Amino acid sequence: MNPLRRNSTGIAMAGALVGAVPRIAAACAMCGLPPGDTAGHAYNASVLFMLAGPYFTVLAIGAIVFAMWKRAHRRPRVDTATARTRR
Amino acid sequence: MTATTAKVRPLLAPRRAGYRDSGDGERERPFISSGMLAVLMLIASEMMLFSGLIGSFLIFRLSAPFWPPPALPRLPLTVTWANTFVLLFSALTMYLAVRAVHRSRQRLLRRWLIVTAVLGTTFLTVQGSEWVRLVAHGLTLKSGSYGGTFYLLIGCHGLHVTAAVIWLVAVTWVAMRGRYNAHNPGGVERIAAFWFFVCAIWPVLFQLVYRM
Repeated sequence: MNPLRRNSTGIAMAGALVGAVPRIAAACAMCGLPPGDTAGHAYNASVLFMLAGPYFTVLAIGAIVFAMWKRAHRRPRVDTATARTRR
Repeated sequence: MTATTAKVRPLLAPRRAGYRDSGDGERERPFISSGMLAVLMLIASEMMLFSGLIGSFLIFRLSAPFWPPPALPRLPLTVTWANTFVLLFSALTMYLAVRAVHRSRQRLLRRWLIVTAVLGTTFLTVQGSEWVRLVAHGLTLKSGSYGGTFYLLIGCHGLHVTAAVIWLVAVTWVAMRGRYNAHNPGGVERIAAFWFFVCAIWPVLFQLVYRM
């Protein structure tokens, strides 16, 4: 059995097991909250927010670095004669 | 010297001997300085800090049946709206300072740096007066999760603004001596990056803590 088929079979079996036994699905911290569970939903929102934090950080810093790299390639070197300090 | 394209190492290119010296006497310069890289790393760590603080705030805020609790005062919205505009306007003046240093306009640079520092100090003063009034009305750090999260989040941001203002005053002091110009804009660019971060995080905090 090649690795792709083996992994797919494993995931399908795990999915079927979780679907067949609801108590296993309820063990997930993010799933199966009753509608009135405000604390559970608050924790979920907080977890999702903090989960997104590192990705947003990397995206923002990466965008800044990329913009600086693009600008450095585009900007011509300042001529010393024209870049004299002006008052 | 004639105007030529700056020699910059490509983003993902390996460091080869040919990049160090182009042969015509010009040294390669990195597209991002070590100082700016350090500031970006600092900003990244600060973003993670605020992410954790906001995450804890969300838990308290979304799980509370009443917010604010009935016995505690409501946060002043009108004054904080005006203060938000003050801080956002300071981001604009800081941008103008960066533009001035890139054009070697010394007088403009000094003017915009001073205006930015004054706006930052104004923001801190208004925040401080707000805090004094809130404490007088009974909202302290010990006023449950409402007071605790408010002072922790807003106080943490206030500390960052204070640090940024001190840094900005030091940069302005150096700018007064004419040290920054188009060839040496690093100091102004670094404080600008931190200032923009401090200004960008404030609307998020304002929306969450004051208006949510």
